[in-house]
Amino acid sequence: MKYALVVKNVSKQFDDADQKFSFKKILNKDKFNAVIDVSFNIKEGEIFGVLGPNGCGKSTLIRMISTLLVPDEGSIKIFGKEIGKDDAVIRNMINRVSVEAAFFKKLTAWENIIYAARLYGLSKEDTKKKIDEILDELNFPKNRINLPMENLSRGQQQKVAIARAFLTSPMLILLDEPTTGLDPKSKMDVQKFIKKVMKERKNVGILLTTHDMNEADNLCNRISIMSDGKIMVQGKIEKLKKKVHVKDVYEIKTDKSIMRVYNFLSKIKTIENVLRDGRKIRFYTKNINLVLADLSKLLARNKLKLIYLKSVSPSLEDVFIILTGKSLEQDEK
Amino acid sequence: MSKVYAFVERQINMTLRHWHWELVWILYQIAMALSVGFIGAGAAAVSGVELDVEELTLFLLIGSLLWGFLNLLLKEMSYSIVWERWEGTIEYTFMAPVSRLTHLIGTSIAALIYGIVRTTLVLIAIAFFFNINLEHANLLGAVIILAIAAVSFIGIGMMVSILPLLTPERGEIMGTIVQAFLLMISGIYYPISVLPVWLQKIALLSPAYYALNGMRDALIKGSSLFELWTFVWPLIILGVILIPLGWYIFNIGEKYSKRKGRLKRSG
Ligand SMILES: Nc1ncnc2c1ncn2[C@@H]1O[C@H](COP(=O)(O)OP(=O)(O)OP(=O)(O)O)[C@@H](O)[C@H]1O
Ligand SMILES: [Mg+2]
Repeated sequence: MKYALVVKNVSKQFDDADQKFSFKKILNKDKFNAVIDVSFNIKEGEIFGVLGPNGCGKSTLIRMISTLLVPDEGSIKIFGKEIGKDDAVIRNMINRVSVEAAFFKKLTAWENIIYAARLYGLSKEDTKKKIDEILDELNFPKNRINLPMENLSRGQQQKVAIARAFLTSPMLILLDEPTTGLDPKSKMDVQKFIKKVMKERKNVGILLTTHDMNEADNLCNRISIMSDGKIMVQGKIEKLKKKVHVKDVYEIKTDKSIMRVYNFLSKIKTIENVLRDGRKIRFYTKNINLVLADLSKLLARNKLKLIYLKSVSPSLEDVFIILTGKSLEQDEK
Repeated sequence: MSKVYAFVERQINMTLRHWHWELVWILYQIAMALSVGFIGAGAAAVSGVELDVEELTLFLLIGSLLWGFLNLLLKEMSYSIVWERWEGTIEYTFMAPVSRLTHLIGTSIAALIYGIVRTTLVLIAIAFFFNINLEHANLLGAVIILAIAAVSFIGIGMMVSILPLLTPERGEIMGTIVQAFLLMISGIYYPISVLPVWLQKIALLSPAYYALNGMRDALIKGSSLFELWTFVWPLIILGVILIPLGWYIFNIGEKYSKRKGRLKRSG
């Protein structure tokens, strides 16, 4: 088994980014741990997901793998080549899509693409042919390719970024939130495209970060969940879901006044993460028996009819929330 | 080779897209060059002293044009990195399989072409206003001096270009400081003999000083290549030192910014 990527005990600290003058800072520099002792690997043919709340260090990790940031500790190997030693070889093997559109905004999509393509030694003819194919599959409107980047919509820019990355046939593809900001249809287009590439090119590896749990569920073979720079858990998604069963996930539905139930549940100490979803409420508790008596009193007092109260199997999102203590919805705000 | 061309093509595309701004800049540069040129005639009028106005004008115009050209080179080189960081493309350029040497050569060639085209346009415009007599001029000698001087300026440009990555945001001001300093010590609009002695000594380290004097001798006096050698050899030495030094400093700066995480703008 060959590994596309092996990350071993990688850590990264940053200086306090605030440069405002103070004597305290000169004497005693505040350091910030962005990535702490992270290890994982990606096999050939695998899509590996890195999930985690904002600021947990996903992009920092990807920057280190892209040779753009030097790790303080640990080692990173890409197809056996080590970062810091074989960077020139490695750069030929990788490419990346980042959340923010990194383009010369006054240049057209095509001018940006041909610039990137030439840096990777591609000819104009090859680039034209290949980019047409890729943009087609992503449903990018062809007549937009000669517009300045700044005149393209956010989603269109993102598609050009994805095309730019896949154009150079990288062996390790780093996708940092590639579908953030895309509409549902475009998201599907991109996911379909990624799956197709993986089918055609069996020996590539993909590292994907996303805030979309369905996307991770749909694309990734294995994932790791990070929080505050550390990996909390990693493994096959199915296995992670089983791990969470210790804290059970419940769903409750009543005929009316669901907010009363919501307020009631929110106040109980043994219950966590009460989430309202339309007329249903989801919550976590280790012991449902502790609340049943009080709950039935509440229902009787308010003349509410219980439609159901059942334990449900945890979704990837539940895994995420329980392990990081943060909900994604909170995050995106 | 195709990798070098990537940078040149990018620059050409960019310039063509901004052509109206480029025109405005050229008009500005022409106006500046003209006003410097008129100082020659003005000096005679103000002081009432009999002067060789034609020679003084030529002296000033050469200074203005040459400085315009070298300054443009320096600016194009030194802004190339800040600009890419601002656009957010710097990470993509730095992670591409391009050696830093290729990258810098590409950027330099783009800057050279841009500088030559713009300066030529200014030169043509100026020729309408001043009656410049180049009968005795050694044009070949002037071009050779210019070419060698350009090399040194590219080296300085490399050094200055990486500075903005060392400190976030305000670093680009460094380029402006270097420019102002070179302008002051190199004797662009006056012979350096008017400077305090210690500044004159520093001037001997400035490639612009040799370029200016060489150009003036070639164009005004028509000095032969042999006579110009006094300016050529220091320029060659400066070039041989400044290019590797620029490249070396660029590499140090790049490593530092990769350790400190200074490449990114956001995300
Ligand atoms: N160059 C840098 N200098 C200083 N601090 C940095 C730098 N890059 C990242 N950080 C800090 O490191 C932490 C991790 O940032 P990172 O961008 O890796 O998060 P992320 O997991 O990608 O978040 P998001 O989901 O919002 O993209 C943040 O707290 C950030 O402020
Ligand atoms: Mg990120």
